[in-house]
Amino acid sequence: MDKKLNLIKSIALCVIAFCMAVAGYLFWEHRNYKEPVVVSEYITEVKKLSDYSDVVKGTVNDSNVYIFDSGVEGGTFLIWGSTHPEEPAGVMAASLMVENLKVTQGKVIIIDRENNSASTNTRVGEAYPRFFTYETEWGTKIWRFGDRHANQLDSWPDPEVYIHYPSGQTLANVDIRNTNRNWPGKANGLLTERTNYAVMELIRQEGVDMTLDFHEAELEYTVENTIVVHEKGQAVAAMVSMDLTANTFDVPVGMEFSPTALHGLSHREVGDYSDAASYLVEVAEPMLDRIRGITDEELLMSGKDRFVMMAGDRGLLYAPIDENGWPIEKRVARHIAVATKIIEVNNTVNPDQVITIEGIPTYEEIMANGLAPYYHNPATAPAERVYYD
Amino acid sequence: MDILVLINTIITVCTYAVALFFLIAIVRSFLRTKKIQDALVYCIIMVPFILRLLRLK
Repeated sequence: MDKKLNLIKSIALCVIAFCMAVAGYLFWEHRNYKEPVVVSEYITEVKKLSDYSDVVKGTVNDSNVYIFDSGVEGGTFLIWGSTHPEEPAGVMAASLMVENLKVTQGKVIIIDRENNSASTNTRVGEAYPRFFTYETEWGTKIWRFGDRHANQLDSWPDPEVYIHYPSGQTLANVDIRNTNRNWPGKANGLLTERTNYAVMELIRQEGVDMTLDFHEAELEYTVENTIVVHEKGQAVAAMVSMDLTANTFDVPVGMEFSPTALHGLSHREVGDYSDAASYLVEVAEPMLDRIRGITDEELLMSGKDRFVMMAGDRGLLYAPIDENGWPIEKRVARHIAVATKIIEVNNTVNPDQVITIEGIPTYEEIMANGLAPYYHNPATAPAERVYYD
Repeated sequence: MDILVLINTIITVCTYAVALFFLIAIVRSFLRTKKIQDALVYCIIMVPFILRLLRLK
């Protein structure tokens, strides 16, 4: 009997060890995959966030900071993606700009992965894919797909109630790991608070005039296809909204005031705690909707879902959707168009902050060509132009 | 150091110690049990403790 028992135990251990090794490798791969970025030939410098504040030094959130300085006096624009890594248009738009941008006046600074830790996480019980991909002529470009909260392996446990610093406003406990709930950050706080503190230091030290935070939102959510803006940027945002809605987009982009009493969000706190005008842009992402069907990369990239469409037919959504869905090309193109239009309008509203750029495709060009022509092959690019996020 | 960060650090260290303690207890029970069903259950419930200790999940 003992011999038989020991045999069964040994077999069970082997089976479990095999399953654990497979699962462990998948977790490890997701946490350690590095995304190559072939920076534009016109980039002037690549720094780390810890160059502005050492509170993130040695952490997963010591992100790359891509700097395009024309050397000609003008404005300074900071753009970041991946505050919420489950909103892929953000990191894809930021990467596209890093790979193609040329600045001829003023300075543009880009962070692809604002909350790197969150891109190594997933949402429990939601069956999120680990990665998302885009096919190009040279091969497949791969990004990590994450969650809106930093990885518990990097910041844990969460407090029973998250008390925002410095306002004292109480928020959901998990939002301590959400970088869009703890601006302007805290030098001696938890990981996400320190991350935002370091970005605020970047804003102050570089003399940033405008910031833009790329997001996506479910169609069931009211803040959708819109620019949320601090008081300092309202004139520019209003013009951007009207211009793009009238001349470029098939679905309007709105403009909303940043609520003064809702704390922790970039559009409120960055404007309040720095000289910069803070903007945040949202675009529709059907995969975030609770009523979606199968949750996979296909839905993520195509933005097509028959259940979300059915909700739309019944007037339950805050954005239109049809059989064409919300493809990733359209979502990225809208982000890029908003960024470039903010620069264009700000140049007229604030002539002391002029920025001129080249190399970034228009909305129409992205819709016609897709995204593939704008991402470059890291295998054939000069080594000094390849960085990893 | 912020008090919340200090508390988090202490709790995190304690959690890993607790995970190790329970893993040892489970392995001990696995080795001692004479019941096949219990042995299989112990095998399965080891997994999250090991993944946590290896900082994989």
